[in-house]
Amino acid sequence: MTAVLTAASLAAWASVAAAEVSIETSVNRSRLAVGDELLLDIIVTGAQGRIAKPQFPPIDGFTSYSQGSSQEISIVNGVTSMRSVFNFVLIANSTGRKRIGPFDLEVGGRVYKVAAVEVEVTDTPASVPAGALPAVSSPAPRPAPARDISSEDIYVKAWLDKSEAFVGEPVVLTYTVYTRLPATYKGFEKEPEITGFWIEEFPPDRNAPKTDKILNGSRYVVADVRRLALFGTEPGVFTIDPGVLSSTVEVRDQQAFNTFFSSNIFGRRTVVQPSMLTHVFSKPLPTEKVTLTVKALPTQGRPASFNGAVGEYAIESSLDKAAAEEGEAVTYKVRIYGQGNLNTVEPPALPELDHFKIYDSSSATNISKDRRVVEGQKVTETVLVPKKAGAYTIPALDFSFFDPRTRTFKQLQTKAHPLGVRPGRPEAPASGAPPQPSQTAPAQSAPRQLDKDIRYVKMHDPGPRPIDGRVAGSPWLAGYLAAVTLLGWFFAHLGRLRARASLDAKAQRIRRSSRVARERLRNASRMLKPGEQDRFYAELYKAVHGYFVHRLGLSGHFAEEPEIRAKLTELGVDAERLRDLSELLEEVSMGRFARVSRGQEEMKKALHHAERVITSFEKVRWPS
Amino acid sequence: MKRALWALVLGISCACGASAAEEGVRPFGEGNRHYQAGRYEQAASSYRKAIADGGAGAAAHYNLGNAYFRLGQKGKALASYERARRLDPRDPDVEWNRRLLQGMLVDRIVDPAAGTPLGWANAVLEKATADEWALAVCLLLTVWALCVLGGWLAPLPRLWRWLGAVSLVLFFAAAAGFVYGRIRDQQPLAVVLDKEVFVRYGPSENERKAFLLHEGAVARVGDRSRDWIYLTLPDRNGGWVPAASCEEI
Repeated sequence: MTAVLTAASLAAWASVAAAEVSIETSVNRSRLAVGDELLLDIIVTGAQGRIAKPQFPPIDGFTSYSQGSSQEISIVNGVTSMRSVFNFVLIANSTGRKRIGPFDLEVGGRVYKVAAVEVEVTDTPASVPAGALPAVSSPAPRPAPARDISSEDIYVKAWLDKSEAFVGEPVVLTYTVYTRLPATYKGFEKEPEITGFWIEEFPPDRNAPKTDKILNGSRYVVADVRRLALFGTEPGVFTIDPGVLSSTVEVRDQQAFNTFFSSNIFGRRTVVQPSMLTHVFSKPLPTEKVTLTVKALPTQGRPASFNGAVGEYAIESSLDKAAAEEGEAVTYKVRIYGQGNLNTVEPPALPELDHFKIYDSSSATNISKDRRVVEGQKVTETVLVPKKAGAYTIPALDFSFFDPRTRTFKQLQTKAHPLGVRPGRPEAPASGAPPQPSQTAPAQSAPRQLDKDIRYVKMHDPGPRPIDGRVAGSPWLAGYLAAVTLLGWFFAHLGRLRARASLDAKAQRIRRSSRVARERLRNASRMLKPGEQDRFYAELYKAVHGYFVHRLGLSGHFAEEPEIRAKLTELGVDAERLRDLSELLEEVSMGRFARVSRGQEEMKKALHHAERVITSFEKVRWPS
Repeated sequence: MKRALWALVLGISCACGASAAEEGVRPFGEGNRHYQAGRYEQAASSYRKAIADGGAGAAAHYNLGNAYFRLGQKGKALASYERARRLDPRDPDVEWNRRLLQGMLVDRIVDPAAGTPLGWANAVLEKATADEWALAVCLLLTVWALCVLGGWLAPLPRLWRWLGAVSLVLFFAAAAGFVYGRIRDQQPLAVVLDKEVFVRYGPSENERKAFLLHEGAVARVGDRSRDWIYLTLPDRNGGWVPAASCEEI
């Protein structure tokens, strides 16, 4: 198989992958001659569910034959993945650049498209690469005439390498074809029916030696075409129906052509134009049932650590580091290797370790069937996280298995591994945070609930509380709530009234300010006489100043022009009005305090100015 | 002075001693002694007497529930825990035992409101008795009234207004709890005591069977007809069962 895949990588390949399923197609050569054999492998990896046997549509220029399939199962991290290889032989019939595929493959109920592969078929024989099979000629088969081909010409025997085996012990079921006619093995018409066994199929061995045997005076070519390893899962006597093989047989016109018979069950060495010499018939090859007795494993001498492993194994363990810090993950690896069905071997588990957190293990199984035995290794990795500094020992683990060759149980033990755990680095304390506990203090964790039970009875009964049953249904409750609500509503109402009164006083003051100012202006107009200048300007000042003080709600004694201006600016009074007011106040101040005597005209002008300013400010939107 | 102090200490000691001695001879203390000795039947009898005599609090119901639990009478145990919970809804021991017992029951009846905002609100409202909610209502309304008064009297109206608003919001929340508690108290619970009882579509053995309930199932009592009561389960399912098969709380 490895040789074929290597050859495929040199030739051509195509693959399709969807989700977790990967399908690869490979051929062993990209150039071949008419009559040459092309090996086509379809490899399905990671499929979950049933894989239907690929069905080829007729391939132009080729005759195709199935050579069977093989499966490999591995368990990685608890997930089972399967690799199935379907082998086909294609025989080139015509020259030219040929395209094989694309074709459909059903995996787990879903149809995948397998990509096409291109090869070139020439007239001249291509150089046969090392490891490739000889060329074969094979005409299209037709149903075999019963009188021409008897069960003595070609037949198959299914046989077991032993008739008794223990549970878990491998028994090899081999299909051997005996033929005295040129024939080609085409796979199985009816697959074998085998229950009660774990089955591992050996890959097709294309280079397996074929032997000649003289049986009843006739020379037969004998070849093993399929081999299965059966592992009994339960004791009992089992009858296996090995199924029906499919083959094609060449019948030549001349009996003397016996010498022409190939030594290779898959074809002939010599290229002959088949249509001139032979007729090809399809021939089903039924097999007789075989019986196998599966015995229970002995109970005597069974070690406590025995967990069902049968075969011949060795075990080893390792730690990825000998020293670690608190909280640092350490990987503990256990490897079991040898011959037997490793898929069903359960590696020994680590016991609970104080001061360690043990995570679930992951395991990977690699099975090899290249040497005609089922062998391989199973590696289990467990992550340990030490929680406390100290010197620890990861204990040795016991593993035992039943060796069917010696019919005894054998016990093995892994090594114990010392592990030093250093204190972890303390985290940098935040400023102002309390000091970290000493590094020698035990690691803290939340207490673990060990069991559950009801809590204990109470030793003292304080009796019913004073409020129990006395408040909720009491008429006093309703009375109290009503009283407090009324009281609250009463005070709230009083507050509202007071607020309203305050608002009214303010509004009244604002309304009155205009009237008072007008009255004072009228008083001032009556003082427009010589000698009344001081009284006139004093009254004018009171009119203007009082107007703004009332309007703005300021204290009359302390409110000066800058304060009035600032308040008016806050209210958004425009600059022109403010300038007008400033000019008026300056004019009034000059009249009040300047020693220069003012004429009646100037006083009248100041009075009009004041009236204009107040009228102007009446249009301003004052705060309520 | 010194003599008076000694007399006071002596008086307090005598009072405490008398109280402890009284605790020992009262049915409650007697029940505890039986319980500690593993005589759960006698313990249950003493606790029942303590409750019947009056003056027993949540602890007596809780202890009675424990005695029933030890006797394997899950329905009665659950009824006692429910009574203890009604008297002291925040007691963690009662809650622990009640949940543990519920986990052992055959019927797992899921409340559709669980995990929703309505379920969370119910869980909060159940954390106090109707009396406690009533007290909270009184207190919060008083605080609101004082805030109004403060706002009228003192020169910090904004602060008073803010405090008043908060107390008013809390008042309405407590009022909701109070209403919830009153409704809960007026709608009794029933716990199934029989090992299993058929819930029927009507109050008669001739009526069709709706479903089967097992010991410890808790439901609200919705209606009565002679010797039958109508149960409404938390999942809104309901039906009639014989009153004798249940214990009302």
